[in-house]
Amino acid sequence: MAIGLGGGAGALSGWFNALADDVGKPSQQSVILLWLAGGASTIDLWDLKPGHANGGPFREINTPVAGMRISEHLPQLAAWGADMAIVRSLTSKEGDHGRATRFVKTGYLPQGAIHFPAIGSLVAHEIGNRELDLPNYVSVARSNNSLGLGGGFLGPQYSPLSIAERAQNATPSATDLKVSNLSRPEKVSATAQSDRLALLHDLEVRFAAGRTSPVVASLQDAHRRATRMMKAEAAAAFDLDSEPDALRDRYGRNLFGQGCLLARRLVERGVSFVEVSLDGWDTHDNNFERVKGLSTTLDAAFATLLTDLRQRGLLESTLILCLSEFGRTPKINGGVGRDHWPSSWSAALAGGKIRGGQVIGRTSADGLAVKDRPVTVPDLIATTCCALGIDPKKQNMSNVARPIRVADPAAEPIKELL
Amino acid sequence: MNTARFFGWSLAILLLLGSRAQADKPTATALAAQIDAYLTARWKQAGLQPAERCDDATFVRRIYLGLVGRIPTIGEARDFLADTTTDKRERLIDRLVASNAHARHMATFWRRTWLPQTDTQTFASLTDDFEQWAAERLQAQAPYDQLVRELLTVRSDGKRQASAEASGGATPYSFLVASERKPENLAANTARAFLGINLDCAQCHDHPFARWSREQFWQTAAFFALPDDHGSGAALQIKIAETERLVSAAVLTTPAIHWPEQLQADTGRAVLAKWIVSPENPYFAKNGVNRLWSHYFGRGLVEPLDDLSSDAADNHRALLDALAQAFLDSGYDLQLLSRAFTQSRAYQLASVGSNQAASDEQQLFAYFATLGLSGEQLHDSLQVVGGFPADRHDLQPEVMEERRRFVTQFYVQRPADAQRSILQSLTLMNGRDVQELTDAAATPLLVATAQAPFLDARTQVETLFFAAFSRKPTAEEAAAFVAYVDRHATTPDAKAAALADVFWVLLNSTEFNTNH
Repeated sequence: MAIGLGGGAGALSGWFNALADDVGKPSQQSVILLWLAGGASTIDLWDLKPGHANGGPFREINTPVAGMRISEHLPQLAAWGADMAIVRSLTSKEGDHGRATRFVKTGYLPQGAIHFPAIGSLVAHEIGNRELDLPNYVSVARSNNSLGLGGGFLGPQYSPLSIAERAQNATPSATDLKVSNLSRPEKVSATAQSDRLALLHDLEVRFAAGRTSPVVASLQDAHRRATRMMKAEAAAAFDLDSEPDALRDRYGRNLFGQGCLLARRLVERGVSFVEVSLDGWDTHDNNFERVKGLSTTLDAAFATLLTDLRQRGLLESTLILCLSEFGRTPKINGGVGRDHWPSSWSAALAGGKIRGGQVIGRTSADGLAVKDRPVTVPDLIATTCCALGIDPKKQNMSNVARPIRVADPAAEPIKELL
Repeated sequence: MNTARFFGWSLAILLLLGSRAQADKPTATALAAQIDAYLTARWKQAGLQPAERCDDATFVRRIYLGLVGRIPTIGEARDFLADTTTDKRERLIDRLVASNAHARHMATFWRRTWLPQTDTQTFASLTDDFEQWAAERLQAQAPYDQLVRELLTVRSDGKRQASAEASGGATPYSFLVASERKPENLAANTARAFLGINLDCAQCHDHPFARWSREQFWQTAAFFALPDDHGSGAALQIKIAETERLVSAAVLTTPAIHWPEQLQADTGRAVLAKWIVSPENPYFAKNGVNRLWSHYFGRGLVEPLDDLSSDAADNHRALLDALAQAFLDSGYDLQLLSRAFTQSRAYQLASVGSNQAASDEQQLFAYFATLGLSGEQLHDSLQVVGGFPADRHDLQPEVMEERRRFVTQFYVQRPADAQRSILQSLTLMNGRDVQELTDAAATPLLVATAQAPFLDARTQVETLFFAAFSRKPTAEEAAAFVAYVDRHATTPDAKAAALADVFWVLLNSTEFNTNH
């Protein structure tokens, strides 16, 4: 196990040094990761196989782009074809939820004692805005397989603010999209509050002296970040009630839809990475009924997000990734379900510096194999980095005192998309 | 008495004493000395200067958190500090290890170790039953091997065992439920929890460099399968998922196992349990020692805990082997290990003040690692610090429900690298629990401190510090906090509010929120 947290002494010396920490320069680029938790049946979303036994009952519909046909249950997104890129040739070997989630969200297979940071933490580290009172990485409706994914060796200050997390509440709803306890108790005056914080600060400095401990660093850092977030302007980011009802309806009055709306509000305020999870994709049985329902939720939220970002002039600076830990078996099982399938699956990208209107790669007629232009998970991470102006080969010092590159050195960015 | 009969009796007595003879049973002091000798040699070899022995105030807080899961009360800490005898640390350890509170605290630890899934929403409802069983068995000083055997062979109908050694009421039935009674889940859970072997990845496929194959995974899972209709056959069988291939139950290492002629529904688990707890099983005792060590020190002698069969070189295998042997010789006495570990020099080192690079020291236990508090430790310590009774209220469901809510909110995966989230920080700063605790008119400690006649601000501040940290403030701290209270003491109410501010500061401090 690795006790030391990385970034050298800087990351360990607590809140009073954190402002001086050597993070990248502020940037206007942001990422919204739409995470389809449980392993999405991408063969029923982005790469249908009509006419084949593996295809199932869904029909394809056209998009404005030739060759880019997608599921009939994504009608609003179909209109956005010219702005979207679909990668149909993702391939990996990880078929276990936990390991695959870690792989896709960090770009590295779990190995030994290295605490790999999540891609959200990497982005926050490389291009996050350190003047911001909001955390640069916010995670909405995290499922249990993502628990613990955060700053890793970059340090706790890059771990996400996680709201409506499933570990706290098995069935979070849109009303859970708030940050509890964000304002001081009524009985405590503003003066008393700042007196308390000043006294605490001195106590903390003394306690941290001479202690190299990731636990101390994390406690002090969380406290510092929580205090910053308590400022009224920062707290206002979570006030979804200030949005017009009609817009809220279009996003979908559900956890994912309202989570996407929250993502827009955060990105608008300069947060560099927001992930919003849509859970329920582990469709071992009754796949088509369930995927149809999930598709409807995804379609409304994703398409409204694109519209909303464009109207506000934010689409060119906001990269949207729609990803899952793996795909599902092309072969339909006895329970009309599909099982885990990492060999050939798809992802969708839009916005930011991504060149839309493209389909990358191709799978076989039965969907079982990648036939053209295989893309690995690290390739996708490297592509994301390049789109954000982050050098994927840049090295950060890890907790095992070995430099680790932002993306796996073997990764090749998908140059057609850039 | 003729000679032959005499020898017959002697032999019987010798066998009775056997390997668990009282004379062979190691003492905690001897084991602690063995640990000290080993680590001292390692420090010398590495040219490391270990931290100083921690002072009594640090020790009393640390040992209460470690052994009974809460900070000491003002009275408990004061009594210990006032004691001038030289063996007071050993005596406190012995008293705490023998307490009900220790059994309860360790029941939580073993539940979390054996059934980590009970910390997720899905299986959270199993927690109370399981801890009840474990606490009863630990309180009765059930040997570790027996605990594990009871767990593995719990009746699949949930009924109590008829045997005399069964506990008062609870059973470890949750062990089966937490794995959804699926052979593959039970196999992975069993190997990890009791042997420190991670088979999870072998479930789906062979990994090129893994030590355990997919075949071995399913051979282990077969022990949890049901026998065929006739209950006959040499061994249980199971089909490897997504294949048509049948494999028979087989164990990962020696010793060999023996099947009875007739197989009942629970035979497979009984046969597997016998192999797991066998003295010749190379992992069983070591895994128990390693996990218990990591409970007290924050990291295991061998890491990762779930990968005992790895061949990583930078670990303390020699010490682990010796302690595992002693554990076996002691008849799997868990209390003995707890006493030995906490008596050792390494456990009683300061958490600051060693001279070397952090990573070397931590690998070599040259200072005490600052540990995050578990949700349970934080909750129960907040009760104690407020002056509420230190014992738990298990019979009041609403109190336990509040505790459960808090514990879930402040769950930490591993105390040695506990990550505090922004939301947890906000909860502690602004949330209901601390708001209530800092109510100057309601919290016993604050009421007593503010209303006691003749107490000056200095004594009041000292009392609050002592309640939270088991120590008095330093001169510098006292100056700042006393000046603050004096400045606001325009009326009795204003002074009480200022003391509540001080208390809020202490509860939100890293010093309060860690075991150090």
